[in-house]
Amino acid sequence: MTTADPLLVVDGLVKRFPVSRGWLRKPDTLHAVDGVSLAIPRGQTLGLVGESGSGKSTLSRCVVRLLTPDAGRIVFDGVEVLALDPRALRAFRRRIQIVFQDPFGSLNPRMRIGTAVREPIEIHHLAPAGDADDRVTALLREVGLDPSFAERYPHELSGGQRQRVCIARALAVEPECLVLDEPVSALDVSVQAQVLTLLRDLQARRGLTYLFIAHDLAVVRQMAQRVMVMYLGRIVEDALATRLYRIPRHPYTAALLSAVPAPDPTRRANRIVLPGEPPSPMAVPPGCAFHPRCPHPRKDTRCERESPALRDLDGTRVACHYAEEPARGPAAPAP
Amino acid sequence: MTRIRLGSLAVAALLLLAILAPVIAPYAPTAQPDLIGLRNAAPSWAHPFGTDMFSRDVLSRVLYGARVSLLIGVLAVAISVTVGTAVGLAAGYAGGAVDAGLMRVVDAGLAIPKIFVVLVVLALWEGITVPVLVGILGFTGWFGVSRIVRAETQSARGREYVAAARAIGIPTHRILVRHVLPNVAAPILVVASLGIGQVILLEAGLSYLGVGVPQPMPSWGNIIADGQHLFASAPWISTAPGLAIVATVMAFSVLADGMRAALDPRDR
Amino acid sequence: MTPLLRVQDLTTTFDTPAGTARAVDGVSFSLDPGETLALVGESGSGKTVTALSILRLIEPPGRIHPDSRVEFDGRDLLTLSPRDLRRVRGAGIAMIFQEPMTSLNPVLTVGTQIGETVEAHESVTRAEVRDRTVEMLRLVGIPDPTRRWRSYPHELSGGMRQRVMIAMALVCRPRVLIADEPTTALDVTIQAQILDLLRDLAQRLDMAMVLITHDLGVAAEIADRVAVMYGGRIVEQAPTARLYAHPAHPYTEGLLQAAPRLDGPAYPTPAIPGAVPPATAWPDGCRFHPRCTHAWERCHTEPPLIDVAAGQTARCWLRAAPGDPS
Repeated sequence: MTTADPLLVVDGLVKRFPVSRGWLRKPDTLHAVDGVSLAIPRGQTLGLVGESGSGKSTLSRCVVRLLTPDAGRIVFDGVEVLALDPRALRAFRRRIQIVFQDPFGSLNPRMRIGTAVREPIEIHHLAPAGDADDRVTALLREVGLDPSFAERYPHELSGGQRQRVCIARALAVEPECLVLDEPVSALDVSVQAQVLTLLRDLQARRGLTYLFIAHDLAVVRQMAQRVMVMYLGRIVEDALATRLYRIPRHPYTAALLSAVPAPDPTRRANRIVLPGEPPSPMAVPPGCAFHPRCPHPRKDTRCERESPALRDLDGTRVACHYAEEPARGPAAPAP
Repeated sequence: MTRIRLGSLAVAALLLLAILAPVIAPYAPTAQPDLIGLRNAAPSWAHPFGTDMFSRDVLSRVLYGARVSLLIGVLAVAISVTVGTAVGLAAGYAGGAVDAGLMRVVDAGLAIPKIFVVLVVLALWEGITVPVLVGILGFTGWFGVSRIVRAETQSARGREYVAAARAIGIPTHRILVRHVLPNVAAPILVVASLGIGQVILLEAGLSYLGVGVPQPMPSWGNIIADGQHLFASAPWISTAPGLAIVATVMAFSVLADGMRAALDPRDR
Repeated sequence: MTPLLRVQDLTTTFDTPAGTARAVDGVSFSLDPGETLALVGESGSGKTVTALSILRLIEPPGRIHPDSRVEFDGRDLLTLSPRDLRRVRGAGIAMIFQEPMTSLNPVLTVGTQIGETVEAHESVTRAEVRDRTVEMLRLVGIPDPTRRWRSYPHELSGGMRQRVMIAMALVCRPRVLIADEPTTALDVTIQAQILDLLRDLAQRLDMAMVLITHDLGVAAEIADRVAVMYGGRIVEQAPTARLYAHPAHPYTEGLLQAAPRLDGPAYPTPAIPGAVPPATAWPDGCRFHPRCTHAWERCHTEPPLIDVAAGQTARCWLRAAPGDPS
């Protein structure tokens, strides 16, 4: 793997939410993110995969400082993000931007597209007043939209077009890094493919670094060089994409991979179906958080008592006591 | 015809009548042409709404009264909406202690009956004038508005386009003005419309009780007061302004209802 | 074998300020007893409207055209009296929807809602309703059904709520289940569970299923046959294995290529150029031809469904044998 200095480093991030249970009872704590560390080299994509309750969205919002973590460090290009004062924070916002999942909710319904894309340019004084419109036109073209779209309102655009507008808006500040929180989950398959192609082209052209968050492993595979899997606020596996998809080390990863419905009827037989539901992040099981649902043949009482640490195994980080023996054979047939 | 069109036309007509009162009114509102012959005269061609005990033409007084009542209504509501929106935005967006503190003030304000407060203040005030009335009605009427604005602000705050704006680095005040306020405006307009009707009614009541618009300036309330004890013999004196009030309140209500219907489904 | 459900020339339009939207435009397919058919399409293809039309759940400004026919067990559902139609809904043909949270009444317990279906169609005692309901909850895999019977929807997770929806739909043992994107709102691992459950139940209860989805993977999982929709029409129909191995219509091909896969090369997946046109203005001729890489002059005339192989038809001139009349 590359030895270049990573652009974005997260170290031991913790984010908890108190959940009130009524007047007289002490509030519960929702452990959304429970000690997550990652690093993304410049120009690359880290895929972050997890189901609901995994904490991936909370993590993404902490990284762009829409939420303030309770513990841990975030270092962007050597700068301690959590120590920034409000003025420096504003400047920091230019360097990293976020694109959300819901293209319908991410745009102000009463604001024209052109105004929405121009706003970041105005806020950060990135262009003299006359040139701002030219910048907007160029941005819209770059994401594959005709500049006439600037006059339209969000409700006149399709989901894929709105998502392109959100990407254009994020690019308006010339960021170095984009956090993409499920950017294509709400889109149709053919539109998904278009937007993913756009994102890859932009990355190549502008040298962008991506933190790509999704629940769909097949989508992540198209974008990421490295993939991290989260479960109940913790990382369970962190590996090169080429390795993770062929030999998943953690039983949860294996289950996720086999659960993806593939457009290939011959794959039905190999399915791992996990029993039960993901527990609530307010009631994380003791020991290994995954143990109640784990299908690993070597699961034992150690799994109930001791939470496995994230350890290195041949360049892959995995949090499982028995990761040396994969739970199942490779889920996907060899190409 | 849709409600919003009907309401807008009715309100526009009323405003027009009020503005053109000096031109339309056949007589000056304080003119007393014939204290003996025209006292409490029944409606006739010369005086469509009759005359009162000072031989003043009731129609002219009602028209001039419209100016006063509508002016008070519009200005007082303008104050209420401005103060209420500012408080609601602040409470809804900031949350936490700010929200709690402001909402306790609002709760207190809503708990005390407005008419009580207004009466006490007015009773103690020396020399009530129209600006004083506007001020008192305006500053006691903002509590409900702030509740509505707060709720809408909280809902807008959770939307992703606000998170996106924060992520871009847009300062809070600009987010409030450019992103939250336009999306909150719809219910404010509805409330304002209804509010005008309510303030006019309230003013009429105050004037009727003698603590509103001072004589001899005509206001619908004090014209009703004038004609009260003559209701058996000269009912037109009180009836004319009463009808005017009903028409005005209805016009604003229809307008408010029409606006609510027109704005709602598209928003959600 | 006579088909259990036969849809013929179904056309449903919506009157909008922008014109008449022909959401479903002459759709025909049939369903044999015990068979699972997947209706696959993206947004704007008309698949959901098709499902709603079968049970006559279309409200104005939508209209089902009088020439359409939907035959269930020999009777045309579109001309049934409201009383007879009510008897079919829930007991003959049942439907489950995408969002279990909004499809369940938040103020009624799960048991009450499932019980309602039974009470609406059969006259049984309260005790029997309860027993049937608990039995159904057990059948759909809800743990501790006697206790869960009293739960409210918000006390259950997404996957469990979807199971409750399935229980509600199946409690009167319908012959046909229409499932509209039943797993789209669920996590991947729960999705796998629900698909397994549906497949299992269809077999056990000898039930036919129409599964509506935009996800080709989901269709491959449980369908015996797949019908691909585009522009309000069916553009290809084939047995599942055949469709994925040898797609006959360029749109199907494009969808299969665009779908992200776990095997094969990681990227790029080629995208279908352009966008779905609005239903108020379908292109002339073949509705897909403006976006099709193989389009030629003949495509300005709309092709019929052409037989390609055993059981496979495609609405594309490329599949016409030379000498076929246009």
